[in-house]
Amino acid sequence: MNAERSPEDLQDAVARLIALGCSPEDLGRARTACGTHASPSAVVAVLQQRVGHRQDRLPGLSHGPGATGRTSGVRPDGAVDELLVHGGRPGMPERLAAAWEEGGPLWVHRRRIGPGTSPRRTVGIVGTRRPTLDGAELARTLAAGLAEAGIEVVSGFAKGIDQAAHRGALSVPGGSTTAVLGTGVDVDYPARSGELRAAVMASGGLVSEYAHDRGVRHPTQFIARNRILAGLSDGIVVIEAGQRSGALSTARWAADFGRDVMVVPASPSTPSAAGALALLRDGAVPVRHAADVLDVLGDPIVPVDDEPAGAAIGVAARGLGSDAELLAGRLGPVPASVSALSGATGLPVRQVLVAVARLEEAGLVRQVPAGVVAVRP
Amino acid sequence: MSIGVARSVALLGLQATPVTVEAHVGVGLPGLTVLGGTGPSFRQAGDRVRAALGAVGHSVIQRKVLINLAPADVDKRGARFDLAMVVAVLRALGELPAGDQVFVGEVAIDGGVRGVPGVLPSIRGIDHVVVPLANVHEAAVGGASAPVGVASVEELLAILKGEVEVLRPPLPPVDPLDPPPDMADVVGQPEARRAIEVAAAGGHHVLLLGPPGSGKSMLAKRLPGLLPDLDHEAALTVAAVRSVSGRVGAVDRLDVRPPFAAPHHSSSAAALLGGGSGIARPGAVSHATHGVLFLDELFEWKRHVLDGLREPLEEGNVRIARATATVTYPAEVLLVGASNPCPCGPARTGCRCRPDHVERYRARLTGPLADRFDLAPLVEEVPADALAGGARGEPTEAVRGRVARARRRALDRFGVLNARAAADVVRDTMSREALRVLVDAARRGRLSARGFDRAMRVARTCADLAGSDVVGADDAHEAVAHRGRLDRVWEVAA
Repeated sequence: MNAERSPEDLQDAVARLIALGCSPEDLGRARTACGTHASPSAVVAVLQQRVGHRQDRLPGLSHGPGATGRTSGVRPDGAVDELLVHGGRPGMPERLAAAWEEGGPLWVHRRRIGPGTSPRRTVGIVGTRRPTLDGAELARTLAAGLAEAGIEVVSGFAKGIDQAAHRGALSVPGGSTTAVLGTGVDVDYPARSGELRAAVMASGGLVSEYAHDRGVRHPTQFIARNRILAGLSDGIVVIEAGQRSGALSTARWAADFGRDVMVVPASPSTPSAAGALALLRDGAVPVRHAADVLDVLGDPIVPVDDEPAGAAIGVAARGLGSDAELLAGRLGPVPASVSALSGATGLPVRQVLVAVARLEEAGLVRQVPAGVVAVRP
Repeated sequence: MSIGVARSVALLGLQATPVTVEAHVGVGLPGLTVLGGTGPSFRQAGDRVRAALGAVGHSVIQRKVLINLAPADVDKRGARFDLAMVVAVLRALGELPAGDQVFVGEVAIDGGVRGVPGVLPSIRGIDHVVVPLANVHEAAVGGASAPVGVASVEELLAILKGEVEVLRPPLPPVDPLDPPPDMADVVGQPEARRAIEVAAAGGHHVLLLGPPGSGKSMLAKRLPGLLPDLDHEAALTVAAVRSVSGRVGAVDRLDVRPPFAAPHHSSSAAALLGGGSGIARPGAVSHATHGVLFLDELFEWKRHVLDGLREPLEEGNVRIARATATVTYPAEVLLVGASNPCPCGPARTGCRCRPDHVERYRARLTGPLADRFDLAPLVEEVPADALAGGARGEPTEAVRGRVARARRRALDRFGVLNARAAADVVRDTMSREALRVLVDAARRGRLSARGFDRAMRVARTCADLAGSDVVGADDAHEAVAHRGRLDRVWEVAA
């Protein structure tokens, strides 16, 4: 029973299992039964035993991925579906396959348009769905910086930091990004992201462990996809993760897989960054920008402007009047209300309003629902 | 064959129309017929009139009585013509001399006279009026020089026959008005205080944003106190709206304080804008005319109800058409909206709403609704120690003085408040730098086309508050900052 299968054989067996409706949850149960060190062949054998009785469903194929039941092939819109099986052919990315013993997936579906690139390195960028303006901006610039250095950016396609990272990578010509979904690749989730979805598909592609039509059935789906996200990455950068953020589970998986866990430090008064700061306490590596990430990964360092954002604002505010300069020193990524600024500086509120509008005109600050924040120039 | 005539007034909205009541008392099959009116309370008028006549010893039960109200095509409803009908019949009987007094009032079957709504707008410009005693103060407020108040038909007869001196009861002592809430009670909140001051000075609409309990309603309630007292005409309009709204005795003096109306967010379009079957009655927007209309929990209001506010805000009045008649009520309001920044109304612990909910909630602020507002300050929770310390803000009196000066400047220059001034007239008073600031903001996407004009008017008001004739760059900057949360969709990440 424990005979190792040939790659072709394994690929066929998994494709068949998936056609029978074998889900990642089935895989999880089978792996628990086999033990963590079981080979893919052994797990497939158990799955065949358990799912084999569904054989009678084969003719209708009601549970297969997609309406046709095909796990791979060219779709009408030009996208190519592939089934990547650990130990099969064409096989998984090496990094992901290496995560097998720590709980990595047996298979993933990938959908992309065009051949895709095989990047030297991949970095996962994850964080809260509800970032501050500053956090989203950080994710975007960090992803763009990495993409410029030829590094693929992997993220989870969720709203907030994830999508900001995808967009950042795509903003660079030739930048590559892959999205790991918590739903099937056919499912339009999160809503109103169609354009980004198409762009990612044309770049690194969409990756999911779930059947193509699998919707949001249970929140654990998104926790489970985090291990694929971590498995695909050489390192994970966490930007703003709350106390209970899913980004923390990604970081945990990355640590389990022996990948670097990095955090962009934020102010302790940013509630959406509490979890990220806790990670720092636990020994994650603080990074400021793409160059730091490359340094951690042991890549050649690209020279970057090291000037912190706050100082830049102070310098740029010169010439906008003394009020503006005074305010610039008080503003940061955490929103400050006009009332609070007036109280802190002792300036009359009219002068604060005028100075804020001036700074905004110069592109140095922005008004957000909770107040005024400094923007990175 | 004898005919008696008495004058009365029909009321359509706030529009008064003279009505002549003619009565014919003749021989024939006994009965009393009334022609020319509509509505349930009018239909029973004949029976009330006959009973009241009987009660004062002039029974017409054996006579053939025909009462006609002219002109026939004016909508006449309500019990307000009873008194005129009684007088017309008595004149037909030769019991009373002819006269040109105007009669408004309802009679009771025991011969008493009851108050009616809408006396004030009915008798404006008429000197000789006879009204129910309950309405006599209102008639005096309305400008009638010698209003006669009667409590019963008997009294009416005595007065008209000249048997008794007209009693001119002194106006009853009116309860002193509660002192208006003072701005000194507002601790901190410099941004919101400034916005309120600018709003009061220029007549700009303001949207207060802040968590529950931060004092949004408190600020809104203090805004009417910052406005100057109403002039006579405006005060009469306010009193007229109160008068037609029903409660008899609601108007016992000429109240010169700007009104304040705060309808609940579950209100219907009829409650907000006016409505009702037959002749539409004024809604909250008309009750707040020349004052402040406060809409709390703005985003909880039904969309179509708020959309109905669009025209009244632009035109300063609200026209409501019903099958029988179209009425116009005044609606010159200063609109104050208030809302939480997100659906849950976040406490200090932070918001726990789903991001798409917040997005949808905030999306309501964009578009036509946001276009109505000129200022959107943040109202913050005031720390408890500041409240316990007994700190006081600047009192209403000081702010009111500045507001009055700024308004005077605007009125002297444009003849209207800045918010209602024509865009090109305002533009002529802008300095080149101020225009550049606004154009620049528009180019950056910070001002929409309509937002541009509105920001220009706010800048004009800021300059007026600063006492300068030309709008400078600082004023324009301030105006742009005040609109910080209005012209652009709130950023909800990526």
